[in-house]
Amino acid sequence: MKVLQRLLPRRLDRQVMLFVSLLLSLVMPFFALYEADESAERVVNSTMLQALALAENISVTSVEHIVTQDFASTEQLLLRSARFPGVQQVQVSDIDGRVIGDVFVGQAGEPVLRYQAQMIDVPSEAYPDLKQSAGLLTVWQPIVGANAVGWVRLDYSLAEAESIASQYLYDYMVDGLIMTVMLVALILLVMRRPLRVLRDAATFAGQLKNKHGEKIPIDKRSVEIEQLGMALNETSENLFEQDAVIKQALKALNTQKSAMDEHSIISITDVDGYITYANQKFVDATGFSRDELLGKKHDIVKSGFHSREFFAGMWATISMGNVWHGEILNRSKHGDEVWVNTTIVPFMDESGVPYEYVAIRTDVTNQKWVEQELAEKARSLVQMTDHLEDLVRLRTSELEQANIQLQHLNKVKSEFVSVVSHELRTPLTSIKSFSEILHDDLEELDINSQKHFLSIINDESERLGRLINDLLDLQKMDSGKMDWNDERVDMVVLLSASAELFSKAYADKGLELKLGLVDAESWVMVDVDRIKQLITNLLSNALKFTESGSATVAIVNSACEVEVSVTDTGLGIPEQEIANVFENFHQVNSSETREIGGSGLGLAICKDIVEHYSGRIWVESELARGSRFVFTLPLLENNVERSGGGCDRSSK
Amino acid sequence: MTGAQNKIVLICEDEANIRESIRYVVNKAGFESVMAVDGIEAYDKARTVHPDLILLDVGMPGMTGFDVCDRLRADADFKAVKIVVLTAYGQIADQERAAEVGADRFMVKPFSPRDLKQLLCEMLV
Repeated sequence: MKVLQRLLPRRLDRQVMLFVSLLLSLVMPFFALYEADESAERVVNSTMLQALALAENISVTSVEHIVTQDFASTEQLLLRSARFPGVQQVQVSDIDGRVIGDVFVGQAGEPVLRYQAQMIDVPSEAYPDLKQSAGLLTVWQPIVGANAVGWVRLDYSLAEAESIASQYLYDYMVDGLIMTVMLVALILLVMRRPLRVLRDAATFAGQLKNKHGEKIPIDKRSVEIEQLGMALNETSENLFEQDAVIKQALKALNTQKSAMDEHSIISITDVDGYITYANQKFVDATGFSRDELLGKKHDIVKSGFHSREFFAGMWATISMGNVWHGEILNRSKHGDEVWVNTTIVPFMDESGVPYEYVAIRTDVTNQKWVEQELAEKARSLVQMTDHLEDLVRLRTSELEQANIQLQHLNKVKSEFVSVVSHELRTPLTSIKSFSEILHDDLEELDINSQKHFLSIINDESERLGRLINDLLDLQKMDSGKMDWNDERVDMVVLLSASAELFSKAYADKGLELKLGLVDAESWVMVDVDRIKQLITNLLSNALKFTESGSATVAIVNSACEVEVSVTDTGLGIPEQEIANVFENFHQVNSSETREIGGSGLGLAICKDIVEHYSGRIWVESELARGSRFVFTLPLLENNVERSGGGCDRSSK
Repeated sequence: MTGAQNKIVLICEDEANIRESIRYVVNKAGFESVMAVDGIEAYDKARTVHPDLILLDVGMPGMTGFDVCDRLRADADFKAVKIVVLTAYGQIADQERAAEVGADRFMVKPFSPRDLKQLLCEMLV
C-alpha cells in the first residue's frame, strides 16, 4: 500500500488526471474491444450470411445442373461464385460426397478449376451447417430438389472479415484513446479553475503562517470552495488579530519579566529540583556563574540554617501543586548569608501534575537584620519599659514617701511654730499677769509680795530672753545664716575654761565637776563662741538633771577627730526618748523633769553645731544611773585637716 | 474663807508662776481656789471637789485640758459646771476643739488679770 502511495502524484489535478486517465484507459479498451468484437461479429455474421446466401444460391442453381448432370454449368457456376470476394474454394458434391465441381481461388485471386476426383466428407444430415476454423468459414449447404441430391461446400475466408474486425478494433481503440484524451482534457479544463482555486487556497493555507491578515479572493463557483475561501480569510484575519494580541501579551510579559528580573531573584527548576533557568540577579546574589548553577539543585546555596522538615514541608506543598511562601537563609559562594523572601509557584500540565517550579525571591537580608534589630530593640524597649515602670513605681512610692515626709515636715513645722509661739507666750503670760497685778494692786500688796512678784517677772523675762536667743541661734544655724568665725583653737584649753565657769554652780549644788583630759592638746578649726555654747549647754544639762554625784568631762584624740564626753550621774533618759533628745523643744516629761524646765532647745543647738563641723553627737543613758553625752570634731594637724586613716566620718 | 457665797474654782495649770497669778486673781475676786498641776490631778480633783468653775490649761502633762473637759462633760454630774479653757495655742482649730469638748469659754495666754476677774464674776454670779 505504502509503495502505491509513494508512486502516486501529490497534486490533485494530476491525481484527477491520472485517475481519469487510468479509468478511461481501462474502460476504453474494453469498450473498444467490445465494440470491435461486436462489429467483428456482425461482419462475420454478415460474411456468414453472405456465405450462406452464396452457398444457397449455388445450391439452388446446382439442383438443376445436378439433376441434368450439367457439370459444365456447375463448373461455370462455381467459377463465377469463386470470383465472389472471400471465397477460397467452392465444391459441389453429390449426396454421397463425390466431387462434381471444385474451384479454388489461387494466389492471384483467379478461380481455378481443380480436377481431382475425390470424395469429401459430407455431413450426415441434410441441413446447412457452418463451421468456423482458423479464419476459414466452411459452409455445407445441401442441394435439395425434390430431395437432397448433393452438397455445396463453400470455404469462405474470414480474413477480410477479420481484417475488417481488426480494423474496427484499431479504429475503436484510437477513437477511444482520442476520447479519453479529450475527456481528460475536458475534465481538467472544467476542473482547472476549481482545482486552481483549491491549490491557491492550499498554498495560501500553507503560507498563512507568514501571511496573517492577507486574504484570497472568494470564488463563489461552489459552496465548498466559497466556504473554504471565507474560512481561510477569516482565519487569516483572526490570526492577524491574534498576532497583535500575542504581541501585546508578549510585550507585557517581557516588560513584566524585565521588571521582575530587575527586582527579583528568579530561578526555575524541573520537577526533580535541578535548576533550568537562573536570572542575572540569581547569579549575582549567589556568586556562582550561570554555568555553575544550571543543572544543579538549590543545595548549592544551602546555609544549613533550616531543618530537613522545613524543606520537606516545602516540597510537599509544591509537589501538590500549591504555591509556597517563606523566608529562606542561603549562603553565597563566598560564604555570605542572605535572607530571601521566597515564593515558589508550580507550573502544571493539563492533568494537574507539576512539570516545573518557578521560584521568585527578594533579598530581605537587610529587612531581616532590621527585623532582628527591631525585635531586639523591642525586647530591650519592653525591658526598659518594664524597668521604667518599676522605676516609676519606685519613684512614685519615693515621691509618696517624700510627700508624706514633706507633709510630716510641714506638720512638724507648723507644730514647731505652734510650739514656739506656745513657749514664747508662756513666760509672757506670767510677765503680763504680774505686771498688771502689781500695777493695779500695788498699794494693797505687802513688800514681800511685791518683791516676789517682781522677781517672777524678772525670772520669766530672763527665761524669755534665753528662749529667744536660743531660737534665733537655732534659726540662724538651720538657715545657714550663722556667721561661723573659725579659728585654730585647742579644745583642751576651751573645755577647761568653760568648766571653770561652771565650777561654782556645781559646787553650790554639791556636785563634783571633773576634767578627764586624756590628751594634752586637741587642735581644731572652730568658732569659739559656738563651741562654748555647745559645752555650756551640755554642762548646764548635766548640772540641772543631776541631784547628786558628779559630772566628768573627757577629751580623747583619735586618728582624725577629737572626742569629747560629758558624763553625769543624774536622772538618766528613758530608753524610748534617747533617740529624740536632740529634737527641737524636746523635753523629757516626767514628774522629776517637769519642774527643771529649760527651753528644750539646748541639745538641738548642740547637734546643729556639731554637725556643722561634720562631727557626730549622741547619748548613752540609763534611767536613774546617769547620762553620757558625746560629740566628735575633726582634728587638725599642722594647720591641715587630716583625711583618711581609720576615721569614719560617714556616720552623719 | 468659807460661806454659802463662796464659789470654788478649780485651777488646772502646770506652770507654777502662771498658776500663782491665777490663784491671786481668783482669791482677789472672792472665790475659793483649788489647784491641780496636771491633767490627771485635774480630773480627780474636779470629781472630788465639785467646783463651780474649772479653769483648764490645755498644755498639761498626763491629760490635756481638752481631754479632761471631754471626760467631765461625759459625766451627767458635770454637764452644768462652768469650764474655761486656757491656752497659749490660739488657733481657730483650738477654739473649735474647745467648743467640741463642751467648754463654756476660751481664753488665750497671755491674758489680762482684769479680764479674768471680770469673767469669773460674770460666770459665777
